[in-house]
Amino acid sequence: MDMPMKQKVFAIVLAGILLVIVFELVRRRRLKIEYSWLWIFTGLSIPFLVWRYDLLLFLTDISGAVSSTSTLFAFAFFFIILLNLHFSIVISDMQNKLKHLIQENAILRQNIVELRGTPKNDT
Amino acid sequence: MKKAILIPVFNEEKSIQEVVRALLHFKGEFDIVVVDDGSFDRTPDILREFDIKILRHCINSGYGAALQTGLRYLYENGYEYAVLFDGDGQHPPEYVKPLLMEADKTGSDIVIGSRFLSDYKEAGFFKGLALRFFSLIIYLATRVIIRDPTSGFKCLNRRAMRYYIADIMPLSFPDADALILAIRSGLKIREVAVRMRERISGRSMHYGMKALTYMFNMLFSILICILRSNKDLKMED
Repeated sequence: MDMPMKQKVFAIVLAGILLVIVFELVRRRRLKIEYSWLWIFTGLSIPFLVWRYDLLLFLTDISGAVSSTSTLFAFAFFFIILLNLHFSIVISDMQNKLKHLIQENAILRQNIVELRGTPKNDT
Repeated sequence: MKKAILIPVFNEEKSIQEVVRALLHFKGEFDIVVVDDGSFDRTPDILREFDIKILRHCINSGYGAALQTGLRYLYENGYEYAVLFDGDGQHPPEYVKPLLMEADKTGSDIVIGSRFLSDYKEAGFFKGLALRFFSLIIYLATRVIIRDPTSGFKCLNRRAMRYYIADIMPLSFPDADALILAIRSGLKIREVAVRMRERISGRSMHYGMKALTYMFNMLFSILICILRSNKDLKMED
């Protein structure tokens, strides 16, 4: 059993568009390489599953899904969860770095005030 | 011996003048250091009227981060003791020295000004229940009894300051979770009975829905603190 040609073309075109957008965003430095790997993985996994349709059928079989389409949707949903988790990690990291910057800024500002010998803050 | 009274504040225009004024007679003996956590009311203007040290966060970052900024400053500048003091007027200045003396005399790393050393009557039903609950969790996790784990009125020595500025420190609301981690890190904690005042203005950080989210966050944070390995704690030594 194979995937209909129309579905194959549709899936590959969609994956191609996703990959082109990701590469273009990285090229324009709107997206950092370290944050792009999950998107690239998603974009590559679609043509891979089209090429190895038997693998998709196998996954459908072992997961107990009714059709290969629902397996694809389940995987897409899982990827979105992974991406969200990834973003949460990135945001937490950013927040931590921002906190360090704010603290450093506050301490340096007070040190400057003390070095200048002015008794009051000039904020 | 360098000592400081550290006051983290955020939008305390109604109370901060009175609080700082009440502490000014400690000047000479204690430096007064205020960390303004990005206030957007008149707090910065009021603070500039006083000859005190002011550290200002350019962006509001939360109570824990403000506390950490102040302690980092004190630690890096060689202070031996820091007395943590609230900007809402609840903490009585007359207990600053007793806290310090207790820390100095007993060699404790953290001395907590405790409202409920004898009983929880003053706390009210729900707060009393929550305090008992957190006190019990601390006891189960560490075998140490702390009657008032949410008190922000504390005296810290350099060792404790070093712990509070470490990355391992739970910053969201450094209460019971921070105390559990401190005890596990080998810090000695004592409590001294104090009689708090009514806050001059505003209300507690933990009210309404915030109290519920606080309970959830605190329980999760405590679980993480308990699960931390001894290796994690040793790395901070």
